[in-house]
Amino acid sequence: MNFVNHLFSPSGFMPHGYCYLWRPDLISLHVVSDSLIALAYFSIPVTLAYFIRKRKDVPFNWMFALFGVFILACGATHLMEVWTLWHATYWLSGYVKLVTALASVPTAILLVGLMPHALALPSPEAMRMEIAERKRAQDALLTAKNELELRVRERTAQLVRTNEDLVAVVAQRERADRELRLSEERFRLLVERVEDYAILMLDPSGHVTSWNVGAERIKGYRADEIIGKHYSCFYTEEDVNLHKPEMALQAASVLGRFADEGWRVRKDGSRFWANAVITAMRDSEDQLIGFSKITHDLTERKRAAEALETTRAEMAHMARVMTMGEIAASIAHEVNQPLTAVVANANACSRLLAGNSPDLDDVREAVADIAEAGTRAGAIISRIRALVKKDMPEKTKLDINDVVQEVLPLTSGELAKHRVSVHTELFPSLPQVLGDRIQLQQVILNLMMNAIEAMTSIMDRPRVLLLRTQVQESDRLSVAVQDSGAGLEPGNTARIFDTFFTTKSNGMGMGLSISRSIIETHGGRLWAEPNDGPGATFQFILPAYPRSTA
Amino acid sequence: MNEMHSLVFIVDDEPSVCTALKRLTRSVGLEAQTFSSAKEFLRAKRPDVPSCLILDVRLPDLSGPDLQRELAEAKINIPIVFLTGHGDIPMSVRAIKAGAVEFLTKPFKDQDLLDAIQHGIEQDRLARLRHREIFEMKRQYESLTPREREVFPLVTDGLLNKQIADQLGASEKTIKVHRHQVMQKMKAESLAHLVRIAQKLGVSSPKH
Repeated sequence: MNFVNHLFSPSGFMPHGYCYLWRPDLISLHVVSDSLIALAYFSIPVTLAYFIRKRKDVPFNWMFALFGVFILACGATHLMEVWTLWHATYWLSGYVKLVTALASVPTAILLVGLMPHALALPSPEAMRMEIAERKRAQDALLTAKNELELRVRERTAQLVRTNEDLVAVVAQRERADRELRLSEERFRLLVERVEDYAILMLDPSGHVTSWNVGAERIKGYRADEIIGKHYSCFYTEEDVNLHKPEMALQAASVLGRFADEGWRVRKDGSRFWANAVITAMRDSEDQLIGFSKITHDLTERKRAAEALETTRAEMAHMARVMTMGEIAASIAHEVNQPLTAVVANANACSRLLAGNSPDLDDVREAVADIAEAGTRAGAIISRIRALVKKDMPEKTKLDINDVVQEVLPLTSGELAKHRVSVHTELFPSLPQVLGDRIQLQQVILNLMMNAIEAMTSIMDRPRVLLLRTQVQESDRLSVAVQDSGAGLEPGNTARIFDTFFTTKSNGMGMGLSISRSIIETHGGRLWAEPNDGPGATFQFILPAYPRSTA
Repeated sequence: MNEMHSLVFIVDDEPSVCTALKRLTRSVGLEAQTFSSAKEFLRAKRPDVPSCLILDVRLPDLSGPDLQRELAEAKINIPIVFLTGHGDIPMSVRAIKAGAVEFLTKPFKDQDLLDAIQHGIEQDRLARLRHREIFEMKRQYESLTPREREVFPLVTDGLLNKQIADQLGASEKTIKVHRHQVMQKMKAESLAHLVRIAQKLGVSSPKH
């Protein structure tokens, strides 16, 4: 309060007018001038404030603010000049001046510092040029922009097209995916619903990982019962003891695929004849990921095959019996011969012994002959009985030369009856064959009978039957029956092995077809070919039984 | 047979049968020779004694009946006893018609065979005798003159000398000499005997 009082108290000074001696003209001059100056000074900050407000972009506007304050303060000092003409508040006037000084000095200092910056501000001409330059640049920019826009439009259109294409591709891929999924689903359903085949997957160690309807039907296990179990439970105990399940997987992983046929066991313990194919499954790095196993129940087929085998054996037997019937008379003759010798020798013995001094050496010889002839008759009869007996074929290791020798006595009657001389060329130490002795005898018997038959009409040349055994390519052997008969009619060569085909008036046409089927079931081949000279040769080849395992 | 040496031929392709048959024939004191085929038999030199052939029907190369036929064609009249493995009636009939002594089915009764053999040998012996007699008669016949050969059948026709003389245009006396010569040369004891000789020789008059 004291300070305010101090400011506004005249403190005993005299108004400034006194200095002017109160001369009205001088006073008026000062009042008008100072007032006008103050008025002008007060108006300038207002204008500046307006300018700053309007042109916020003008640089250094804080300098305008400082000018405003400085000019306002100057205006105030001029107003104080007017005031002090009549009121002697020189302290206040002095303080106003101090404020003005305080505003002006930093302004001046700052203005000096600002000068380089202010000088750096472009001149209006430069500005105009720059503006023109900018305008040109702007025009160029506009052109560029337009061009760019055009390009963008083109690019956009292109992108739109690409996008559309992409959308189409994606749609197609989705469709394909959907179809693939559908197809996979269908495939899965197909596999699952296949009833005739057991289709299952195994892990690399042989545990069941998937199971289809067929597997359930054939093997009797439900999926939940068997998944996770080892697949060896499908094998018979004997096969498990022989490590067949492990061997099958081993073989499949090494060979890629392993097929096998044999008896398998159902859940209820019953057996079925299975054909199984195990395939190894590997990933892209060739790592074993498991096995697929497809099993087919062939029990019915096996039974049918066995029934067929039985039928075939029965047919062969029937044909054998018929052949034996055809040659019964000559076989009877063969048996009769030793019997005649027996009877005649026995009678001779009786008569020799009835004499006064019988020659005992003679009697002994006769008795030995009786035994020999009896044995021979017995051998022929047992051979006939074997041929007529109804037995299922049984394959054993045998020497084909022995088989030929066994048939010869049965045919010697027919050979004599038709005056055919027989020659044999039997290869020494032939390899053995695995076969049914009786059926092979039957084949040789049939071929010999055919050869004899083929020669009955031959009058102008010897009737010769040649029986020859040979080794073929070390692992096979052949038996050839060659005749000097009428030969083969060219048109009939292919048909002679047909069932019921015959050129004979009394034949059934079964001999050759049955002979061929017998040889084929022995893994061999039977055919006929004309000789270089007259007649034909019927020949069959059989695989030799490996010596190493014999 | 007792006074005359005889022989049995056995042809069978079965050696044991040959041996047994030979032994059987020997047991009754008959000599036997064995052959395994008809050809071997034909090739063999056979002694000229009363004999009998035991022949198997079924033989290799040449069968029993074939051999029978060949022997007949060669005028070798040896009695044949056929043996067969099985009774084939048509064949046995043919064989017997062709002159076989017997047709036996194997195995046969020893007595049947021995009887047949004996019968055959006897037949052969008689045939040989008969053959020799006719041979003698023929030799005698050939000693007759042509005129005597003309007179011979007229005599055995029972014509009187006068009738013969008229027929031949000769005198009765000449014919009487011819008749006497014929009777003597032919060793005829009577007219009946001469007639039998004429029959055996097949002599007959031209008009017959």
